[in-house]
Amino acid sequence: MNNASNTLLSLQGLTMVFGGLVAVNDFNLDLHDGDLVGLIGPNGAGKTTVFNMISGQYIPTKGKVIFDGQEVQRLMPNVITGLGIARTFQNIRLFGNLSVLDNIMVSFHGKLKASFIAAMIGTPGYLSTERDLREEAYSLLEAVELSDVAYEDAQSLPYGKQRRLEIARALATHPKLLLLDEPAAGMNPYETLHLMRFIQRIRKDFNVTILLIEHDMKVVMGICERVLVMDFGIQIADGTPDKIRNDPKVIEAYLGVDE
Amino acid sequence: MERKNTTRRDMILTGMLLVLLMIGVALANRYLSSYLVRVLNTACIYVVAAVGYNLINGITGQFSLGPNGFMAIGGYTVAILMLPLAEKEAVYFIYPLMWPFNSFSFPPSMFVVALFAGGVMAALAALVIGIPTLRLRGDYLAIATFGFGEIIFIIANNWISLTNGALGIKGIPQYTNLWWTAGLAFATVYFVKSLVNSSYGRAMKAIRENEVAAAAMGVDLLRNKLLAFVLSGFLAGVAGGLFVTLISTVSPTLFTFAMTFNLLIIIVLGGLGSITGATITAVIFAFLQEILREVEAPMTIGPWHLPGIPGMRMVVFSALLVALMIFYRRGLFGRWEISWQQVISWLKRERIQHE
Ligand SMILES: Nc1ncnc2c1ncn2[C@@H]1O[C@H](COP(=O)(O)OP(=O)(O)O)[C@@H](O)[C@H]1O
Ligand SMILES: [Mg+2]
Repeated sequence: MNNASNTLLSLQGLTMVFGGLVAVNDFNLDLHDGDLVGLIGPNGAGKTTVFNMISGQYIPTKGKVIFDGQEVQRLMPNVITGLGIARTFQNIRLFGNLSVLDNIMVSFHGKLKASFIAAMIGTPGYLSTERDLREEAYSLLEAVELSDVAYEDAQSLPYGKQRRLEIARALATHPKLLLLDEPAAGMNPYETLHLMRFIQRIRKDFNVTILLIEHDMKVVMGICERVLVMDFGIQIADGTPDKIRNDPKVIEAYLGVDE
Repeated sequence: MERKNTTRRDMILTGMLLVLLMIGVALANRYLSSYLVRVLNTACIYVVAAVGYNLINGITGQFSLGPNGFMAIGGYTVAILMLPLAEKEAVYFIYPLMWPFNSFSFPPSMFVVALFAGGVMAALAALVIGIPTLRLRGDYLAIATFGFGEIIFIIANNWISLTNGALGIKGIPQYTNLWWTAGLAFATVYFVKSLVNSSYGRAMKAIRENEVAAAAMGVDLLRNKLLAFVLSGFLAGVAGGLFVTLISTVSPTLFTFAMTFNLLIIIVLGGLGSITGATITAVIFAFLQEILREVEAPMTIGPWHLPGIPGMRMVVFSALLVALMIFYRRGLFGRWEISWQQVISWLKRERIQHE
């Protein structure tokens, strides 16, 4: 943790109520530029709901999301993405019938300057923009080692590559903050190891701050400098992996719901 | 470098296709019977409407049932603008045509302006329906567009000083010919195809595939759905305008839900989302509709005499649709698209075999 650097994201008293259920209760978090922070907790603890509030999918019942000095909790998801927050989903949500390359290129649309009419006519100017976008997408695929499947349908990829594509697609929006929701879910130990290295690499190469929800303790303890623990919508611990591992409250939360 | 050359090559090939089409139109006008030319006209009009409809339903994945309403708006707009003043007095004999339409009439040279106006009126209607309903996820658009079609039907029947009510408008000059219909079908396919291959088209397809993910990747859902819906409404309006100036009459029963059903059959048969499919099936459909006229005529098979059953064609089409949904769920063409690259590689393969 580097306290000297800027606060990139600040969650202040975030609360989400669904009917009678308080899914997230008074959640607070400060993320600094360059952080790699883990968010863990038993199933149903409210982790994904926190992501949904940051990315604009849910409007919080109470509280604020301050990103880069700006309140964003009432903005539309696409606007928030434009400001520099990108995410992946716990249940993969790729554009299944589009090619891997097209999946990436969708992420460029939000910042496209070309007009609808120019695109419809196919003006030389537009076509040259299109070529540039295609090249940019292709080099991104090279960087994440997916260029060999660039023209395949996203849905035809094996599971591990789909996860990687989802991360690459999020990176294509040029985010400052990347939210990863259980990226290792369903992976075998080998794939998980590969993913851990991958996350560390993109953090450097793309210069992103990462907030990571993960079930697999090995992943979180292995790559995060700081870990937050949630249970029943409440934050119950915050600290280094070592501190978290020995925290009695955390042990109890995990043992309490042990299957 | 290579890619730049292929764009130029594709443009040249597209230009050549246009020239071929023009030669085809000239030949058809000269050598084909007026009956066949009429069927070809209908086929081209179906292409305009179906490719436009496919943009919102197949590409963007928003289930609209609106094309008949939009075609009606386009059709009535063109009819009212183009009907000669003398005809206006004769046709509107119950109530005179309302001001300002009773005071002017477009000359033949302004037919294209009238068509454009028909498209714009339909596009405006799409905008008005789209802004509230496309915000919502789910089937609201289907319900709203279905209701819209019914409202247009009621307006066409009852706003007599504008539409002449149930009697409709007769004596519209027959400006539509194969030059117009084939030309506009070509333009529609060209523009929609380059749109679909552009960043806007990708955004539309992303919305179809997964709205939540599309929004999370920065796609403005409402804006892109509206663009697709409004353009699709525009094209339906133009198709409606072409249609009434082909058959030289318009009445409330011309653009009922049956028209939307026809277009739905076309785009589903062709493979939702495939422009190639929509184009080819639109043409097949127009011809099939003529051929199947036979099944509505009285028939004598051996000792049995069957009376003509009006509407039998729709039964056949519906059965076809059901069969297709069972055996060929993705339509005849799936999401397949033809491209110049493919045509060239086929030709090359062909030549290698010949040598
Ligand atoms: N859209 C929603 N409507 C109602 N309840 C929800 C909704 N989203 C999440 N919840 C509930 O909120 C709680 C937290 O869910 P979630 O954030 O997905 O947990 P986690 O990601 O930590 O497993 C769960 O009880 C879940 O059922
Ligand atoms: Mg979750």
